[in-house]
Amino acid sequence: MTDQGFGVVRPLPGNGLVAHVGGLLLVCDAAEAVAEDLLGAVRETAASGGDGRALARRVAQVLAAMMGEPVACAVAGHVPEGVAVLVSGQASASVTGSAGEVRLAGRDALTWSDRLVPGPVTRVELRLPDAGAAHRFARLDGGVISGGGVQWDPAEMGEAAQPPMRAAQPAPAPVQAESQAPPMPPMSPMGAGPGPAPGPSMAPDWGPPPMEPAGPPMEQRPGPVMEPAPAGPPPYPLGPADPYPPAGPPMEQQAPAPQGWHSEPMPAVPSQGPGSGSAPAMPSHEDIDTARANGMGGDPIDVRNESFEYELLTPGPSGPSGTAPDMPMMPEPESRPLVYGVDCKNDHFNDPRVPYCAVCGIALVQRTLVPYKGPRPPLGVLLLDDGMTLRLDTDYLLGRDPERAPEVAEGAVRPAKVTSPDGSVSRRHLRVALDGWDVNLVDLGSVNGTQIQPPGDPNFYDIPPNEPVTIAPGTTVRIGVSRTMRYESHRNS
Amino acid sequence: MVASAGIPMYDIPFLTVGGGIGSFVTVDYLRIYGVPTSQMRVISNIDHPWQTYEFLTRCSQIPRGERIRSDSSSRPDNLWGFPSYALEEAWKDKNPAYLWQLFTEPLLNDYWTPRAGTVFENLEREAKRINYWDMLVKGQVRMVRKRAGGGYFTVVTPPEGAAPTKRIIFRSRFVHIAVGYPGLKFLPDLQEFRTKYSDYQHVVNAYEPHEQVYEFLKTRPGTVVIRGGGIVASRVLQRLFDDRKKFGLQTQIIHIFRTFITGSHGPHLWSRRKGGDGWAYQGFNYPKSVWGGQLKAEMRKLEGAERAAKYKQMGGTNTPYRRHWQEQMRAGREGGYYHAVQGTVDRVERTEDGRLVSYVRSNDGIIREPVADYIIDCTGLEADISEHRIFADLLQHSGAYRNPVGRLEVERHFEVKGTANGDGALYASGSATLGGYFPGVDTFLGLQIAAQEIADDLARRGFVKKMGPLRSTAQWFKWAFNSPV
Repeated sequence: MTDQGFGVVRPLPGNGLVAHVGGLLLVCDAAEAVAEDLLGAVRETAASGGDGRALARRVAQVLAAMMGEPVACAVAGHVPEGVAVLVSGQASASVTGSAGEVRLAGRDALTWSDRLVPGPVTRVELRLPDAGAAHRFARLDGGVISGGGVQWDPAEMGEAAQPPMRAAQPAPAPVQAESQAPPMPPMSPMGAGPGPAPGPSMAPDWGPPPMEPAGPPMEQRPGPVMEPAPAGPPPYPLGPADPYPPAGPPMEQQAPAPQGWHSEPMPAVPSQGPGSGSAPAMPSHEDIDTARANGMGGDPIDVRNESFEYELLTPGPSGPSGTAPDMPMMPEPESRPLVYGVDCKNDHFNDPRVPYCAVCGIALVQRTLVPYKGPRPPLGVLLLDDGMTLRLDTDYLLGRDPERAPEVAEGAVRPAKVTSPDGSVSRRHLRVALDGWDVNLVDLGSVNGTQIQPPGDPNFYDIPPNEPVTIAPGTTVRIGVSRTMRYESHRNS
Repeated sequence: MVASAGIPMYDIPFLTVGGGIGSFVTVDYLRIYGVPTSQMRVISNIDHPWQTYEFLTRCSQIPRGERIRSDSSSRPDNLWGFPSYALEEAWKDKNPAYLWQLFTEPLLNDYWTPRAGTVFENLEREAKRINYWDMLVKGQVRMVRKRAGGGYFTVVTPPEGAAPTKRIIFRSRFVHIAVGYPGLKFLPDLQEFRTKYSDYQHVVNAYEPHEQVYEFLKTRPGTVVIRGGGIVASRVLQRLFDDRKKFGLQTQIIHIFRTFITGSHGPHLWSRRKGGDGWAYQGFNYPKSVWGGQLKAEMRKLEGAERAAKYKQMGGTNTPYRRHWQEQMRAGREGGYYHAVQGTVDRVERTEDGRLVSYVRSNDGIIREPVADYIIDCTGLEADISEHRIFADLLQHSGAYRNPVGRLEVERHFEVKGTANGDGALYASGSATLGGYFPGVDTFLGLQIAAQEIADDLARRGFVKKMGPLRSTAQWFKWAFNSPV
């Protein structure tokens, strides 16, 4: 069953639970454990693309396991011929189809009642005994709420034409995303142009970057101004599915330096000394001077004014692929694939292996977890030795010249340009491939290879070429000879 | 009805639910009192008792080598408390300075506290000695309900594939619940940020893994906002200061206290807590007199609002005064890279360049908007017991009720009030029971005191023989020589 053309779902007030997941409806008033199983049945059915018939069968299984305990529940969902509905216990249902209204009450049956009401169906109502009347403006486009019943009017369209969304989980909608989402506008992370000219070197206590002294961090940002963001908001049809808004205005439009504090008097913030600004959020220029003194890079960019998280890396001016205007043509990989995960008690979708919910923090272990397929949240970050941060919401291709790689052109991966002064990073060096909740590395037969240092291990180990290797959070990865990055994640359990 | 439903049922006289340090300490006492492993089961979803504790301490910057905030003689692996951790570490490290510190604390020195690793290693040794893993049953406890005829049913979902049915049931005369905190507490504005921007990496809770913050700061200068004034905030701050020094970093730290303490505070001259620069200072979570002093005697007699008031008086977030931290903070203030302010954060937003702006309202009416690269929330754990399904079910169906501070009301012997059933009893210990006749329940020593009360109550009910001085001495030697109970 598709979500398209689904009408309006209105919750009725009451003391039970009402769920609307992917066009499937559930109303129940039962012990927590049973309610959980029923919700699981709805979610699993929706996740596997099942229709009302599949839902009724699953719910019947749950009720059969509970035999002996009356469970007030009703479910409904589309089938090709009309609408399938099942009621049990104190719940009742009313479906208006081509042959008039059909009423079902759970208490009339020994076990439960179910019916296939042939279409076109104009109205479905599922009720618990205590249900009130629907408010004209109340709507449940998706999710689980407390209530006493639900009214579904397939005919009423209005603004309901948009697909119902799951509460707390942006709709995955891979189809729309592929067909409609334009390529990601350039983020212009490197393209800020030369930053404010650094003052004279005064870096008494700022050493070279600790992790990789040999890897000049400035090397890879010799960027001229990149393509500015297209005018107006990009036509993302599914805003919530890509919660990062496209990058803000290009750097040159930005206020000079992000001011750490509001302009209110702030006695606790003393001046940082000459030439380095007074805001705590604006550190001094010493790092750049140090980098320069070490002969790194050309004209340094003031990284402090840049976004520190790059979802899309843009090529530098020396990149053979030429200039930024190519970038908008590059298809952006689909970023929210569906993976099996579990909901916490507050309905946040999580990696089933973590102890605490990533959104609200509640312990996941206290409830029985019912895995279902949902849109995958970001898995963590790759943190390069120069501070560049890659959010792990899609696959990446790392290398000296990743933009021209066929997989990037196909839109399967996002390019991430990594260079080193010794030239030890290959053009196509390493693919970071996300699989389920795992982060894998595939060395693409690079000349100097890829090494990993698992967390807590003092040694680096070569990874075999063209073979995926799963890495754990806390792993350090050496790309070629002199560049490193770390994989870090809030899911590290 | 249960049997007719075809769900397998097992009879076990004593069941403890949780499997953390609370469960461990309780079965440890009972094993030493003389209960065989066949009479007890631990239902848990973790593999070893210190697992959750170690996860939380590691995340909040207390890895095994660092020192926790607990007294030297509170030993969850040793009910006698002797030899203390300090004696043991002094012996193992061949470092008599620990003993000097012990003699001079807290005046000339900070309180001596054990390393996290010392605690975990000793728990492991003791768990092996009492055959803990013979009693462990993996599974999710769904509910504990009174049973017609006395005692309780505990409904458990075993791990998938571990049992032929989806549920199993334990029938027991005694049940003990020690499930700890229901979870971490993410503040609403931080939850909102995470869902709105799908960004789990820049706004973090100190109790979840957040190494990316420290790693990022090693790569380029950045600003961090810290929220909270407890021990975890102190530890996070120490890590930032340590890294700053070790790697020569330029990290800027903005520290937001909701309650900004400027000096000593308390109801009268003899009951004051030191404070300053935002913090309230106290050696341990509780004033020392809760363990055997005046406060313990006083609290034991208080009920209702009076008890709540007493808790309020001694409560409040605090952190130990450690000389090393004081020096670090002083250097930070003088160097202009550590800024402490009072304020409440209304919301957090992303700036156009991907940084984080907090909207902070102070009591003096000033609104500040610090911009940072990372926010570390150190404000705590979720403590509302109804957030946990087992407690929620007990409150709803089994007659349990809340105490004056909102958690589970227990007797002086830690039986959950209102849940007695025939000759059975339901006990609880740990953070869920805070607010009872005995304060300090959510500490190592508190768990031990609860375990002792429970074991003695079980002895009164004839489940086990009370331990006299002879058995106690003999058992101590067994502990010392690591021989089985």
